[in-house]
Order: sequence, then structure tokens, then C-alpha cells
Amino acid sequence: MRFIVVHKVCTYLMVGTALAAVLLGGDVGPVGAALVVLATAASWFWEAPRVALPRYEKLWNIATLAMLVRAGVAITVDASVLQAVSDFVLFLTVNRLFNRRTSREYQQLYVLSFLQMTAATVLNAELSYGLLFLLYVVASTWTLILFHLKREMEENYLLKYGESLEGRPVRVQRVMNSRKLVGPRFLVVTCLLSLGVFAGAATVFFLFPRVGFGYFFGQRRGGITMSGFTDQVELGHFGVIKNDPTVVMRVEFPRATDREALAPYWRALAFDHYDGHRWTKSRGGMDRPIRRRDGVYPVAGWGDPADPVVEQRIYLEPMEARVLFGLSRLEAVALDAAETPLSRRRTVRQDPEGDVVYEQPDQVAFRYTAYSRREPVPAAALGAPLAAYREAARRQAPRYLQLPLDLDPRVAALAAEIIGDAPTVGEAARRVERWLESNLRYSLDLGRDDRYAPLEDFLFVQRRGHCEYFATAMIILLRTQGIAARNVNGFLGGTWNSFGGYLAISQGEAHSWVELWLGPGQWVTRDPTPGGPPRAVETGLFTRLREMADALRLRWYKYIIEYDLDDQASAFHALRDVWQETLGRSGGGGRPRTGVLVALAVLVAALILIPLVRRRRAAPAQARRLASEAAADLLDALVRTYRRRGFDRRPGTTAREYADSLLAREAPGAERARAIIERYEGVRFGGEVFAPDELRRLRAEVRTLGREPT
Amino acid sequence: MNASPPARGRLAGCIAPVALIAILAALGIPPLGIAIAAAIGLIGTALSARRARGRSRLRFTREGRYLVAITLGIGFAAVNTGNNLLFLVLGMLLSFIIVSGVLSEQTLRGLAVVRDLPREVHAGHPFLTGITLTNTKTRLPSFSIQVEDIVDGRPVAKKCYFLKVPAGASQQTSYRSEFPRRGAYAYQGLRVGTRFPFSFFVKSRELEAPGRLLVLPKVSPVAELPLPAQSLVGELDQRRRGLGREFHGLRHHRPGDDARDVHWKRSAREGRLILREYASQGTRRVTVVINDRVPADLDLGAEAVRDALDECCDVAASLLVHFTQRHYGVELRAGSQSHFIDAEGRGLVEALRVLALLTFSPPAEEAARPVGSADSLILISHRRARHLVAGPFAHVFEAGA
Repeated sequence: MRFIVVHKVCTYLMVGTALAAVLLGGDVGPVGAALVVLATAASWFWEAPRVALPRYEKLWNIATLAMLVRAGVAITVDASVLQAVSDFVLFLTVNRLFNRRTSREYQQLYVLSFLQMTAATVLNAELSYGLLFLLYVVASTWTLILFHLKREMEENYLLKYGESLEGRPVRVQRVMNSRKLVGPRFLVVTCLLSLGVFAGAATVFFLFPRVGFGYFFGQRRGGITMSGFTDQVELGHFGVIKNDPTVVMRVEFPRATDREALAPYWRALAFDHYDGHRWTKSRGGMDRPIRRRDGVYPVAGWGDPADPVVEQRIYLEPMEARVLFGLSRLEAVALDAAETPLSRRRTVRQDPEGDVVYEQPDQVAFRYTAYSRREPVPAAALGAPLAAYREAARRQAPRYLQLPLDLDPRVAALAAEIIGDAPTVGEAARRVERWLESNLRYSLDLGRDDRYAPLEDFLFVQRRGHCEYFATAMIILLRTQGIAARNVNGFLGGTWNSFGGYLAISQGEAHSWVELWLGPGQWVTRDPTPGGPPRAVETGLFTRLREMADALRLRWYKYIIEYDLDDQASAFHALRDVWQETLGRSGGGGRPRTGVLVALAVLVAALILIPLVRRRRAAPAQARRLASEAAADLLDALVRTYRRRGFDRRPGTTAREYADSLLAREAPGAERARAIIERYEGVRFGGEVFAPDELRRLRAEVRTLGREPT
Repeated sequence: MNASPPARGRLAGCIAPVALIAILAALGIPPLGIAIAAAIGLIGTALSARRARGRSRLRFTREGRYLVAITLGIGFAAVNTGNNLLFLVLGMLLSFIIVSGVLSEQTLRGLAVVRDLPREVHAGHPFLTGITLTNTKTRLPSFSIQVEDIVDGRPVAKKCYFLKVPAGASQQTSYRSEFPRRGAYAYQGLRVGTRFPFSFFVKSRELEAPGRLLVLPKVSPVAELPLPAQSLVGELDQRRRGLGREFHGLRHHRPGDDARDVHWKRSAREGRLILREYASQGTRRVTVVINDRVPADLDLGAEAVRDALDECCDVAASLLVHFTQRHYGVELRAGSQSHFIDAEGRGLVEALRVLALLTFSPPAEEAARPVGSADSLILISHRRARHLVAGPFAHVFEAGA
């Protein structure tokens, strides 16, 4: 490929990569992104001499001014400085792409692309940035080297001097169109070079101490909005997201056995108030901060040693509802991130329903550890006589007995019929649960009849629905009979990712269930939703690829985005442990393994000495070659000298014959010339080299031969 | 350029850190300490090798200065925000700087440069200096190399550029330059530099390559000289004409030769200018006297005095060439020195060399020095030194104010 074309391709690759990094951040709308992509593609063909670029200069200047004003207005009105600047830089990039003529304009393009990669560190914290960064390193290495060569050629290849003193202009364009200058080998070697750059970048990344102050910009990622995890939940919305495979949470279990230890109910939000259409929190906004104790935020019953704790390391995608999930029953959480001014602004709070929420200024993936224990089975509370329970509930938990004002009386009648003469609260709940499971059908395909309220429609008309309907139905049926309960939203289950060794929980696993009130602070989980149609276990290639990609994403968040001082310290500790283990000191008192030490020393010595030895071996050969070339030059000089004096060398004669002819013709200094020629032969063909300063002396001698009197 | 550090020294430089690492490991020093020791050892080895290779100069280009400023800015932003991706960008910038340094070093390593100077040149006449660059590396090519000559401590205006010199290959190029004044010019060395690979830095190294170039005085056709003696010269010339225009032989063209005497057919065949020479019917003689004395009150370092001396030498050289071409026997008297040029032109180059190096000197006494009598004496002198020389001059040329 022609040099100039390779340079253009590499430039577009570099600029395109930076554009993609910004556009994939999602802050530029789809229309804006499409415009940028189209303009970039069109600019490929928009160049001199095809287009008279100066003709459009004024137009571009006006457009730039307009975009500058737009950016100013956006900053003033929206206060989104980064976004406004990013938009302006996008425009400038397109502008330069359409107006690339001189080296200076290409240089500006490279600076703009770098600015975009920098802005994208804030706008796009996804895995895509990592991949594009790798591509950018390769493309920028190529581009910068080619740009350097192009500019050097333009600056230096102006005149070429030949035999005569007159210089003639070099056709730089012809050199630029050369196909020999840059070949696949050049690109492969420079690509390897860029891997070196990338390795250097990774080294700095992992070794640079993380002592962030956290002022100005932080990183951010767009939060996922999910119905069911907001302040109010409209009945029926879970059906919409049931098939959404977007992973919202990834959970690692440090102890493998903990994976199966608890039922996989990932509790998030609980609601106490139902108005006939939606669930809300009657005491919303009354949450209180949890004080940290021994590095954890205790939620409920923390410190009870009765049951072993199940530890979960959770990586949460940013969500608009900043709720901390955990297996039921969640007892404490710990924030893993290192203490920085940024993280110190994070707080953990708990609301009256027991939900745990967090506040933090940035919007990157959130990492924390949840500690849960098996929910105690309150046999005594469940066996309490129903009448006594009703009285206690009425007095102590009236808000969990709230009913919609326009509740159809048939609901209460149905509840009374189902519960009948159940002696205990546990038995009453069991009967309602069993009735729902056996009389109503699970379905995501809801046929809503708008003449009825959702619950009545579910119980008496459709008789099918999904978890939200079942949970709501159970709660309202129980509440009509004086049994206190609340609605809980969260996730159920998860898919084990064997590549990453973690549980991936997607939006589709959102679930709704019931918590039964058994006394102050005492709740028990009930799930009246019958099992839906069994979900097909996906094992296809696409699923495996998706799992691999998801595992990669988790690693990206874990090791890159969330890499902090703690991780650095852990890495150094791990390195120290490996070192000590290698030396056989794991026990602390053992002696170093001499074999390991010797092997290490030999390895390091070999790494240093082998290239040295090779270089030393190569040196004599190099010296011989150089000496041989110098000897040839010496003979040329000698022949030129004698030619000037009329003793030409006949074509086809050897150096020795020429020396003899000089003697025969009684040329001045012929004896010395013969000695020089003999030395020439020794070096040129005998593998000898010149002694230090010998060459200089011989050259001087040749010069004096030119002045030798006849 | 090929100078390698003494192998023993380098070996010791490598073994010492290895031994140090082994000892530290044996003593149970933690890996961080060993890493630091290894780093110090490697840096020391690199520095000793670098010292052995010669002085290197590293200079930022405009882009390099911007890069460093941007790197500092990104570093500050990364530390401030704790944004990990900014650390990645910071790492990339730092790596670019490191790679730039390593590659430029690699490019300059193993280069040998040879300068090919003409033996003599005339002041004010451009000439070519050949530069041969050899890459003695066995595998790696060298890219984008600039070579500049350093004359009298200053780099010459023109640089030679080599885009790519493959491993083990040599390339030649030449650059055009001229010296406005006569004299001996000292070539100190050659500066080999590169901005490869990213134009962020210019790394250069000066190589010892001493050389000397004698710049002979400017030679102009007599008709162009400010010589009031033209009538005389013309007269001498006229007298010669008609006496001998018989073909004598051929010789190479010299600066100042009459273009009308060029043998074009022979020149075309040989690829250089060949001149016809004509036999003379008898040798006429002319003596050019150049007065090398100036009054003690003249500042010899003053530019005007130097200019006057140059002018004197240029006129003398032009006259020598002019008369030699016309087969005069010419004698040059410069101070106490005397040089003869025969009718065949033998001795002309030596006489021009004398003029190239001639300097004024104040006289021990202010008395006029007789130059004796000779055929057609022509005196060339500083205007204010005219009284320091006495003789029956057919003509006198005076320079200076």
C-alpha cells in the first residue's frame, strides 16, 4: 500500500477509535452519533485536489463559532461542562477531518482524538473503553510514527545534490506514493511496539499509588432504571422486564459452600402501602444513617453467633434506586472501596422497612460485601393463636394492615373463606399460599380488563398473573383477615457463570414476595408465586459467549475501574507471599531454598550475559566488514590520485597488476603505492583489520603520493 | 561512532547487580528491596554503557514540551479524581516517552559516519561534502537520521537526512555549502541526531571526526576585478596574442579558466571539463608582490582589516590564475616568501595555498622594505601600508580604507 494511504488509514483508525470511545459512552444521542459517523465517513473523500477546500473555509468558521456559542449556552443553562466540551470537541474533530491539508492540521486531529480518549474516561467506563484503548494505543503508535516520517520527508526532501553542484528538487509526492516505504513488516513491528506501550501503561496503572483526592470530576456511568426498584411500584411492570437478560448484579461467594446455603432471595425494597394500583412506602424519606461498627454497617441482629454468616461479594451495576441487595436475611454490609475523600462521602442508610440504601457522589459500579444469615424459623410466633395475633397486629403494626379504600368486598369474603377456622397465623398464611398456588396460574401474558382494579381482575377475572400479582393478592387477602404483611421486591435466583465463578443476576430475575409480620422486628418470608414454566437451560454457543463477555466485564470493573489502594496493598502482599513461599519460608522460620536461589541467579545472569556474548561474537565480523569497505575506498582514492597524474588503471586489471604497472612505468612513489595495495589485499581478502590510526595514516600517504615529484 | 565500552567494564557492570540480587535474596530481603536494587543496578549499567558510547543530547521539540505538560496535567487529574482510566491514559503517555527514548537510542546505536571533503575549495564557490552513513547493527534498521557537520564549533546550515538505513547497509548523500572567506577551516565532528519515532525529542550525539579544509582565495576573471591596472594587464595580454596559438595539450579545467578554451567534445566524453592549452613562443614573466605588513596602529582583528586582506589575496589569486592561463611565468612574493609558477602552471596550487593562509603582521620597523627589481612588478597592499614597501612597481593595487 502507498505510504500516504497507510498514513491516512492509520489516522482514521486513531480518530475513529477515539470517536467510538466517546459515542459508546451514550451521552451523545443516537442522532448526534449517527451524524458524527456519517460525517467522518464522508470526510474520507473530502480532500484536495478533489475538493477546493479554501472555498468552504468561511462556512466552517461560521459553524465553529455557532458550536462555540452552543457550548457556552449549554454550560450556562445545563451546567454540564463535560458534555458541552465533549460535543464541541466532536465538532472540531469533524471540522478537522474535512479540512486536513497540512501537517499542522493532522497534528490538531491527533490532539483532538487524545482529548476525546481522555473525556471518554469519564463518559464511558464500560468494557468497550478498555478494548478501544488497546486499539487506540496500536493506532496511535502507527499514526505518530508515520506522521513523523511524513513530516520529516516534507521538511528534508527538498533538494537532492548529485555529481554537479546544482541541486534538483525532489518530488516529495513521489516518495509519499512509494509502496516500498511501509510494508506489512513495518506495521507488524510497530504493532509489537505498541504492545510495549500498552505493557508500560498497564505497569504504571498497577503501580501508581492510588491516593485520590476526589475533587472535580468523578467517573460516572448511566444508571439502569428498573421498574420495581423505585419509590413506587405500579402493579404489572415486572412482566415487562422478565425477559431482559441485562446483568444488574454479580455475586462472588468467597466460600464455595455458601452458594447453596441460603434460598436465593435477594431482598431489595419493601412496601407497606397499597392504593389499589401501586405499592408505596408510607414512611418514605424517614431513613436513618447506619453507624459503622468494626468496619461493617450492621443492619439487623449483627453479632448473633447462632448461625454461620454467608458472605457475598457483590458488584452492583449503577441503578437509579441506590439500594443494597443481599440474601435474606441481610445482617450487615461492608463497603470494600478504600477510604478516599470520594468514598468518605458515601453513606449507608436504612429505612423503616429495613431496606438498605447507599449514597455516593459517583456512578461507577458499586462493590460491597453483604453478610446474611439463615432466617430463624419462628415456630412459636407462627403457632400463636390467630385472635391474639390479630389484636397484637392491630396495636403494633397497623400500617401493615392497610387496605385500598375501594377494595372489592369479594376479596375479604374470599380471604375469610380461604382462611376459615385456621387456628394459628402460620396456618392462615399457609392456607392462603396454598390456595393461590393451586387455583391461579403463573403467566407473563396478562390480559388486563380495565373495568376492574388490578387485584380484582387477577383474582376473579383473569385468574393468571406473575409474582407481583401473587404477592399482592396474598398480602391483601391476609390483611383483610387482620394478618399484617408487606410486599418485598428483589431478585430470585441467578445464573452461575462458570467462566468467572460468580452468580450473575439479570433484570429478568426480578421477583416479588411477601414478608409476614410476626412481632416487632420479626418477619418471615413467604412466596406464594407458583413456579412458572421451567426456563430452558441455555447452553448454546451464543450463551457461552455472552457468559464469557459478562465475566470479562466483571473483571474489567473489578480490576480496572474499582482498582484501589487496598487492591494494590493486596497485590503486594500476595507477591510477598509468593516470594516467601518460593524461598521456602512459608512457615516463617525455614532457610531459603538454595536451589531456587541458584536457579534465579543463573536465570538473571543468563538474561544479561547471553546478549553480551552474542554482541561480542558479532563485533569482529562487523569490524572486518567495515575494514573491508574502508580498504576498497582507500584503493579508489589511490587510483584516483594516480589517474590525475596520468597513470590510469586499465579496465580488468587487478590491484596487484596495477601496482606492478605503476612500478614498470616508474610512477612517483610506486613502491609505497605497492605497499598500500598489499595492505589493501590483506584487509579486503585476508580477513585482516586495520590497526588503530592505520587507516588514517594510509589515507594521508595516498594524499602525499599525489604531490610526489616526478 | 562504533566505539563500544570496554567489554570487561560492561561485564562487571552486569555481574555486580546480579551478585547483589543473589546476596539480598540469600539474606531474605523482601522482593521490593530486591526490585529496587535490581533497578539501581540496571540504571547504573545503562549509564555506564551510555557514558562509553559518547555524549548524547536530548532536547524537547515543541510537541515534546506539550506532551510533558499534558502528561503532568493528566497525572494531576488522575491523582485528584481517582479515575482509574485516567491512570491508564497516564501510563500510555509515560510509555510513549519511554519508548521514544529507547527507540531513538536504538536508532543512533551502531551508526558510523564518514565525511568526504574536497581537498581544496575557493571562497565563495559552493562545493559538495559527501556524507556516508553506515548502520553496523546486524538486525535493526535506523530511521530518520539527520547528520550535520560542525565547523569551527558551529553546525553548518545544511543537514543531511537519511530516511531509512537498513541493518548492515551504507547510504551516501551530500550537502552543498560554501565559505565566503579564504582560510583553513577546522571540522570538529559530526552531529548525528534523530527525532524518531514520534518527534517528541531530538536525541543527538556528536562524533569525533576531525578534518581540515583549506579554502583558497576567491578567483575572479580579471575583467571583473577593481583593477585600475587593467590597461597594463590588457597590454601584456595583447602582446602575448598572436605570438602563440598553437595547440599544446589538454588539461583539467581549473576555476577561473576561460570558458572559450574548453574542449567540449573531450569534456563530453570524459564527463568533466577539459581545457585546451596552447604553446607559447617564449616565457614572459610577471611578479605579483603582496604586502603582508600593516602599520602598528591598525587593529588586525578588525573586520575591515580582515576584509582588506581578503580582498588583497583574492586579487592576487585572480592575477596568478589569469597570468598562468596565459603561460606567463609568475612569481608571487608574499612577505619574505617567494613562489614561482612556471608557464605550464606548476606551482600555482602551492601559491594559492600560501595566499589562503596569509596574515597581516605589524612591521618591526616602519621603514620601507625594498622588493628589488623584476619583470612587471605588481604590488597589492593595504592602502595604509603602501609606504612599507618600495620598488619600481608597474602597477599598485590598494585595498582597505
